[in-house]
Amino acid sequence: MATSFARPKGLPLYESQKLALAYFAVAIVLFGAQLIFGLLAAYQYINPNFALDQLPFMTNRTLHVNAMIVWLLVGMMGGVYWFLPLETGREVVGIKLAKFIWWVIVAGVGVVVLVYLFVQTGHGNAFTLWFINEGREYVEAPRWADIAIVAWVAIFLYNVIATTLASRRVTGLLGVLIFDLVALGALYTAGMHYTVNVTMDQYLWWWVVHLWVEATWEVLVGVLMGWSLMYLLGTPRKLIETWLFLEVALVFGTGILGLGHHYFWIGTPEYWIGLGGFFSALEPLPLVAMVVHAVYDAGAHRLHTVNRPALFWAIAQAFGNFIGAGVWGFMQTLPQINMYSHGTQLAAAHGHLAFFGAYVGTVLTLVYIAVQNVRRPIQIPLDSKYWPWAYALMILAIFGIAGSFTISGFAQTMIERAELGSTWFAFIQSYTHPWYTNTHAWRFGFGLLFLVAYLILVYDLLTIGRKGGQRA
Amino acid sequence: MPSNHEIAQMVGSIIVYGFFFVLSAGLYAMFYALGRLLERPWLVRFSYLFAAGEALAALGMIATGYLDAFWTYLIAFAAVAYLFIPQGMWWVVTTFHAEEGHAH
Repeated sequence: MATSFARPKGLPLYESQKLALAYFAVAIVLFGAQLIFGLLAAYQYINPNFALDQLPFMTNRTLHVNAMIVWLLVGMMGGVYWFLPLETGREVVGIKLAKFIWWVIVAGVGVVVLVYLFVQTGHGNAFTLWFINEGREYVEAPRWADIAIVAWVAIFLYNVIATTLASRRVTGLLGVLIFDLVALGALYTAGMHYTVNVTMDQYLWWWVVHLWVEATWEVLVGVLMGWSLMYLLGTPRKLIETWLFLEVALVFGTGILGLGHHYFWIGTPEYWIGLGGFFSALEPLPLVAMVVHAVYDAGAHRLHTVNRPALFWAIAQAFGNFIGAGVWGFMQTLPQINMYSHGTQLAAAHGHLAFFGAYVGTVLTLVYIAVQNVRRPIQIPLDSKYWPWAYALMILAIFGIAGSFTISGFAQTMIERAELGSTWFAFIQSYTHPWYTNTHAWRFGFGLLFLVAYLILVYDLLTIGRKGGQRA
Repeated sequence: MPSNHEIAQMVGSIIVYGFFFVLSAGLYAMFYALGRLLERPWLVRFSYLFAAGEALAALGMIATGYLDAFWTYLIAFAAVAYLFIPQGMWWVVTTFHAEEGHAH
């Protein structure tokens, strides 16, 4: 079962892997920050006056969403720094530069958070755009931080390309990774193009929001899960690479033009309705296909692995991606439905489940793999009595949160939008409807449950693999 | 011209049918793969219930009358495509594994 991806006894970690550990540590801390700000935002639905002057909902939401994007990206990049020296058989080229930009980014994230917390808003001028908040949902980072992020990804790309070339070993996984990272860096710059025409602005903004998440991140996850499966199950490289090529074709084939489902009603040409609808209807296709592969891989190995928590998070990733992105995505992807559901809490339900399913599972898989190699240099299976609790409670909690959003979003779609026609009267009717108001408390309750699961996860990550931490 | 109330009913129905459409497709894929993996023909037959559920959900979406011809054909096409995904993927996965000498 053990593969060359496991660290042999006595062999020190590569500098790149030490850097990966720093990435993972920061990722887990930011995961906690995401939960805290999410809980505060959830509580403000119940008590809208809570901290209204100090930390309004708008700021909480910004921090909740931005923390999520950053911690998932950091976790996935950490995964690349972990596996890259193992894949190429050498230290990462430019590791000092990688360390430098990493600490710049950590400091930069700290400054951005402080500005979000204590400055929050500014006048509608260039100073605000450059130094406070760009004012655009999900990519609120001020312009200087945008440039730092692009520099960070560029150095990351340099690390990967230079290391690959120096090793003279261009594997299929590395080829896909390099191709994907070029797109990852380039697409982010589309979000920096500001124009007063809201249609044009949104047109490019969606390149970041959709194409990052539903194309480049999905492919990056494919590469990382490929390495993870080689480590966890000893799956042959040729199999992983063949599957990856197929996945890239399916994800890009349906996902790139699936972008059109965001263009239905923002003022873009009408052909996007047919084009976006067609590819969006097919977007769950690769996700259904992945379910078959996940069942085969998990079943064929009878769940025998060197690292049970990592394998279970990998399985959660395959199914979670299907449910969050596939099921919750499709139910509102047709333009006839999207016209009424767009921007309601149905979209929030989809976002919560899809991010959790596709990316949280991936990053936690990577973190557990790294933890095992730090604590268990020889192949003693990693297990504990705590991770199953964190695993089960986190999954239960996210379904509870998404379920609450789904019910309230359904009320918004049906009452506010379709039945009463988006008037102020309709707004009040839907926002005072029990399906909307009652779910606030449910969501907050499940949020607290998620926090408990997170604390168990952190405890497990700190203790698993240490003496006495193993399951009897 | 349908009233707002009728539109709301149709929109709500399509959301619910859409939810079960993809969920059934996934459950069909899961139970089909599980049945083949464990060599349990009853499990494979059980998976066909979800295939039927997926087809019925597609019919439900179409039957609301809210979708015009293009979208009706699109849903029908997607429904048929999803019916063959589990078999197709099973063939792909087992073929890959067999080539690597890891056939189950």
